[in-house]
Amino acid sequence: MKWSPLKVALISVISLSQILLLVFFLTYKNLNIALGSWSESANLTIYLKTDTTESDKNQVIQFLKKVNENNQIVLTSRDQAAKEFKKSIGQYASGLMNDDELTDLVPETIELIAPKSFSLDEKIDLFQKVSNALSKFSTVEESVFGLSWLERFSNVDKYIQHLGLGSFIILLLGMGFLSALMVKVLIEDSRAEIEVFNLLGATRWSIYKIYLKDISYTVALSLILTGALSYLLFYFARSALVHSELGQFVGARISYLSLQEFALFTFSVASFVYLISLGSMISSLNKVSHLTYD
Amino acid sequence: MIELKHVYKTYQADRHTLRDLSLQIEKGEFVFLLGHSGAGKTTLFKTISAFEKVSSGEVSVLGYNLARLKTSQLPFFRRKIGFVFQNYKLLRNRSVRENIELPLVILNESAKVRRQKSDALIEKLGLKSLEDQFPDFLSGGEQQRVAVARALIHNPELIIADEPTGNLDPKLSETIMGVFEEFAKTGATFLLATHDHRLIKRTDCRVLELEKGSLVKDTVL
Repeated sequence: MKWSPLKVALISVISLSQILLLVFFLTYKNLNIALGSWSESANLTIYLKTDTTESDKNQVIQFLKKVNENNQIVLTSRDQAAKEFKKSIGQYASGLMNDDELTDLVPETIELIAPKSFSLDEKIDLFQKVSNALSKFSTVEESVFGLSWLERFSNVDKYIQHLGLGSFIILLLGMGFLSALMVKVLIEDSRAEIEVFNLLGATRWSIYKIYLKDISYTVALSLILTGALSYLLFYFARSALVHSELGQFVGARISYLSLQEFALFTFSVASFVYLISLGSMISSLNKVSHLTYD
Repeated sequence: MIELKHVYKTYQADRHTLRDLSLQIEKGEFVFLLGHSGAGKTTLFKTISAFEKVSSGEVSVLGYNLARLKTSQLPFFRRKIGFVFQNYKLLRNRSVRENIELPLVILNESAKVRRQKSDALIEKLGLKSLEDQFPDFLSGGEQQRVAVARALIHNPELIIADEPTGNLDPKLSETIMGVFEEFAKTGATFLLATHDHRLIKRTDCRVLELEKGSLVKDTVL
């Protein structure tokens, strides 16, 4: 590839717009991880009455398994619950109450954990369905899953996803448009060169090949630059967060794109930019070349 | 080789750049084209090299009837011609050697063949010390010699040169003409536009003179 200030500008512009897109993608990913971890802890807790027999309890468990065989069921006995309660109140509990008194206070619980593959809406549906059905079980005192919070959270999640997708598409289109424009300028700048190629008998394809090679190198170089610069940016941002008091929590939890995610990002962005640039190249070349004799 | 029959080229209404031009040039002929600025020399070159279509008349070059020339045939037709342009048309981002080798790159010749052929021309035209330079760092005369080398490297059947010695001193002009004459022995046809009557020393050349788009003189020396 023959270097020129315009080509350097082209690589810089494509790289910078890709970095912008990647930073957006990273923010979206980490926001989703943060929200996802909250969503994973949303379970249905079933409080059983104190006089529940083993057979009543089994009936409830069987019912929960029947609803969805992938449901995870965690049973916490009164003794266990009391121990955990005592542990959680720590030193203040010693001598305050004996275990029997605590056991009387703390109910036995069954926790229903929905399959990991479930979306938030599916979880809400499942918990509502199960909760309604459980009201017919005389042994169930109460079932709780924080419906209003889950619904609010689900709305936020949907809003972020739509906004994320919309912004990603807009940024991608903007980047494509910018790349196409830069390629057009590059071809226009090579008008004299193309004229010489025409005069020396270059075919349409052989001229395409020259610029196609240039575009391929440009896209490849800009992707390498994007990967390196975005990782450095991420590394410094995380270091800064980890060393600050307020951002420590976030800094410890954010992550860069996995290899698969990076490959997917690279493939989709490179294909898009490449196709747009190709279209721009062909149309610009057809305009500036003397390949027809009319 | 080249045949024009009643050719007219009109850019503006009632202003013919070529006017009822008819001529025939045979294979291997060495033809000088004389004429003042605006006589139609460049238009004639553009017509012969299929860069512009004529308004009326017939043009046949190297066996191609240009009126029926298909777009797909155009590059292959141009590969048979070697051009030396008045403004050289060298690629600024390529070295002297790369510029000279360009027609061979288009013909997909190997690097070894390109090197062999360019070495010979670089030597003949005295460009050895400049082979790695870029056109912007060359004088007009040096650029002209590069353009001449590029026009000859792929052994074209027809060489069209617009003022090929325009920027050269008499000694270098002689050198260029010597290269052309040597190349003419291969059977190539030359069509050279010039203002320099001193160049027309050959006894076996033909001189055409254009005036206001018409052929006013056709002399064989």
